Amino acid sequence: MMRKWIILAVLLLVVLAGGIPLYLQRNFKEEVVAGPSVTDVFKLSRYFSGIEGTIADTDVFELKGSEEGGKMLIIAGTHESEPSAALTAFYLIENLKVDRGTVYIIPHFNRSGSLGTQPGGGFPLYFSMETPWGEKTFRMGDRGFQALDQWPDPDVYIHYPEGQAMSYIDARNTNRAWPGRPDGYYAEQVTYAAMEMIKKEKINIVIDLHEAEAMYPVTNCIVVPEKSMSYATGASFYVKGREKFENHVERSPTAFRGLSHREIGDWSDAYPFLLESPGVHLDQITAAKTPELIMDGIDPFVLKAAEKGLLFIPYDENGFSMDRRVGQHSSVIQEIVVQWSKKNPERGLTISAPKYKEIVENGLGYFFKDPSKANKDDVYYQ
Amino acid sequence: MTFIMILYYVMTAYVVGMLIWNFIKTKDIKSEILYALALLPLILRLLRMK
Repeated sequence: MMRKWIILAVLLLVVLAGGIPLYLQRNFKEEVVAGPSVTDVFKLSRYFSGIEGTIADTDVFELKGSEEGGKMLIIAGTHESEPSAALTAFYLIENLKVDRGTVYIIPHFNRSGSLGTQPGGGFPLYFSMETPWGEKTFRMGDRGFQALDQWPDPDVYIHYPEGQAMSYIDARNTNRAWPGRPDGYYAEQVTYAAMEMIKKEKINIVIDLHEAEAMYPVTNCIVVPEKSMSYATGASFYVKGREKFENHVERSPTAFRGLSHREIGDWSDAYPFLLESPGVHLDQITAAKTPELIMDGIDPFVLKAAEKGLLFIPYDENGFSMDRRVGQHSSVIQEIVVQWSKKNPERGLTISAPKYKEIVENGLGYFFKDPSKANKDDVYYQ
Repeated sequence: MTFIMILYYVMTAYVVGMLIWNFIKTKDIKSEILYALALLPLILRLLRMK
């Protein structure tokens, strides 16, 4: 009998040792300080009440300029294991200046995914960065909705409305669920809410922020459908010429359904752009998935792969840091807006924030404000 | 939480109950350890930790 009690005690210890950090991470709040252009913060359920009060509901930050103009929606956290997306959103919320038009930013589009890491992936629960006022910590998330929130998975995920059969795991993937439906999985409901927002607000530009592996060809690029192609090509040329970094253009496939860069363009008047920056922590070949790897992108095995010509990005011993990834996102977004505004002056936007060079020189942490010194009404918990 | 999801939690609770019952009944140490290991993910799910 004593033996059984010992085994149960060990089980309890393992449950507590493993479970409590997961519980704490799920309840950890990231802080973001609303910058000078933030005019409102509201829930996405404003556009679809079906997600109100559920894990699918999420904050939308509105940054409205003094002059009327076009509208842009920036979606981050579609895949929460790609953290430069949410960090770009936080950075823009705190630093973007909007003079003309309106910018909406969703930092955690897949909020459930942001509340836990990938099971079995060996990822840390948090990662941090240095700022002038101390360390700022963020949750490391998962690619899809947590199984805690959307369970069970189907045997096969059938995309709505096209009927394309996909992997079961894509039922929890907010970048296979566009354009969504009101009575589907949570992943479909949140994309449906975003589609309703895009249509009701007459959004012109939709940016979906991502990261991809260095060994995957669709990385360090802008993925667009036909109608967004000229703007993306212009942005790609200009960032290469002016800011000296590579960001090529990839065409959105027409037969692969559910992706933001395909469905948003097909089901609305908006022009979608999916931005990929290289997150080498996502590559399978890396050493331990540490917070440092997420932040600096330095890995000896990825470097070895680079020496053998197996990568699709420029990579050396300096890695591919978070500063570079967020800097690229910032510059490409701003260049897309410039390209758009040139060709659509009546629906143009005028925005500004530090770009690639300035972010890399100063470090991303330099641009984050100290929540303890900010006006309490300006601090939002994500 | 959908009806199917609630049903899955009920099924999980049932399996946890059965595993505990078998754990109590068995006299074989290997089976005791096996039941304890099988309980681990199910308890984490029931407690909504993972």
